[in-house]
Amino acid sequence: MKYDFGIDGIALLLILLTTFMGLIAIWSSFSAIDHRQKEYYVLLLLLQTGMIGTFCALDFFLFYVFWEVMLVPMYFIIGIWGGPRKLYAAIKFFLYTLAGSVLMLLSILALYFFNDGGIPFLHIIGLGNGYTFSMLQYHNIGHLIPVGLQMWIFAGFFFGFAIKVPMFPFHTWLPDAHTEAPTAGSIILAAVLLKMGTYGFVRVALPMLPQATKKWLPFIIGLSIIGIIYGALVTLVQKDMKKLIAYSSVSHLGFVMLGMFALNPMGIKGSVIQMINHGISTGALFLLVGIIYERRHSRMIADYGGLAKQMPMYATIFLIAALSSMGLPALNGFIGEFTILLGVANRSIWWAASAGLGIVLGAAYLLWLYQRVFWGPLDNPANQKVRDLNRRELALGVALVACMVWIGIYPKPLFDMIDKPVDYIVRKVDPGYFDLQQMPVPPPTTVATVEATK
Amino acid sequence: MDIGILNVVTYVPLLGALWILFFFDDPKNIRYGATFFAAGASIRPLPAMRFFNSDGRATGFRRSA
Repeated sequence: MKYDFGIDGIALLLILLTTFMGLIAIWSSFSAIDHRQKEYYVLLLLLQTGMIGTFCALDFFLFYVFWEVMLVPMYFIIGIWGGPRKLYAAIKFFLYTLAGSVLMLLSILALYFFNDGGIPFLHIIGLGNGYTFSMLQYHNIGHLIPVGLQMWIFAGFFFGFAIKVPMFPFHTWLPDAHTEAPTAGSIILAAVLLKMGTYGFVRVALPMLPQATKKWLPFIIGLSIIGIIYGALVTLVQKDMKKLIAYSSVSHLGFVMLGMFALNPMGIKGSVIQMINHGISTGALFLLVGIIYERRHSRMIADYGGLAKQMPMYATIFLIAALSSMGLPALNGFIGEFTILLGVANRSIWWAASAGLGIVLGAAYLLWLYQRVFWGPLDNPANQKVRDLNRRELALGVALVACMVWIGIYPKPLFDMIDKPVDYIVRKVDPGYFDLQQMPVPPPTTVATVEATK
Repeated sequence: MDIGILNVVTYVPLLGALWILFFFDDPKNIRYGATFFAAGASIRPLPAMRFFNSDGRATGFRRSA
């Protein structure tokens, strides 16, 4: 049996994120999971296998198999170890993702048949290249696919990936899944599973379906901007901490999509870096909410206040994670958001302005959350005996904070890894982009020349 | 980079899952076993980073045969 397995810099970064956050998720479960531990850890490791496999796959068959493999462990993790509405959340998560996967499968089959014999019932003649699932083959023939067919194939992939991202208006499964999942499930969901959608766009949709990408672009940009602003506004009014962070993901992932569909190297690089940053920052926030939930069994913001006095270490790490999520300079979020804004502004200043509004709203909901939970009087008696982080929890927090600071101060190794893969994608989706950049620029007209002309 | 690294990255958590399923019963062993395999999976892809830097070697996908 022949299979195609391989990575480029983008996939490697996401694999590193997966393995790192997988370790964090497992370590964070030590005190949170006290029943059916064997099944729980087995499912977490199986989930990790599926995620790494998806990033490694250069073959549509493997990609689809690993994509589906991820669904099952996550369904059980939410359904068995989740909160009071766990079954509803697990089924909703499963059905949404499965519906997207089926449409994605139809698009894969359309590509598969087009590469050889064609699709007779649609009167589409194939290329006669033989049947293959190799993604690299489809990167090479993307421009040969008729635009009409590309549009349909893109639609299938779009639903598969947009549900996973999740883009507005396909996001409704996310707050339920996040709120009901156990802490480790939320960490993995936010850090890695959502990135499957954005990774799918980068690996499949953009390089394989260049013309359709450009035709779908206004629609996707519109949904991304709505997602950024709507996600942030809905986040502002949340009363449950976990739900608040879940909705913030809709806004942040809208940012990632916007950068990606700027279709220039800066936008796509920012988008990939922001995938990593969101994984680390939001993963950290879910971990921290899980830690306080273990102690107080409440995620409601109104139940807290003044925690900084009782839990100074916890408050410090939460503050750094929140600042990183809102994009404060010297932390990782800033690098991603700044690069995305550079790329997006290059396309349209209005897109960038909309994204800027999302950043302001992001700062508002995170600072307001922090203010309500950590500042003010410690007047709830239940909070007066809450203990601060233990050594294990502190180690988890410090590891995540170290990543935030490292990427915030020295992101060069990350950019080095994705430089060439991003150029490759831009060449596929917009072959003329680099030629346009290399066109000779006319010499600047000096004041003297202008006067001489007069 | 030998593609074996990638295969191993995928297999380590799978191996861990099977190992825990068949050989571990004590909750402490299960927890530490899972951590061990997850840590193994995180360390294994690190050497691959040197193949994807800006020195000109990162020309595309590193693939299996």
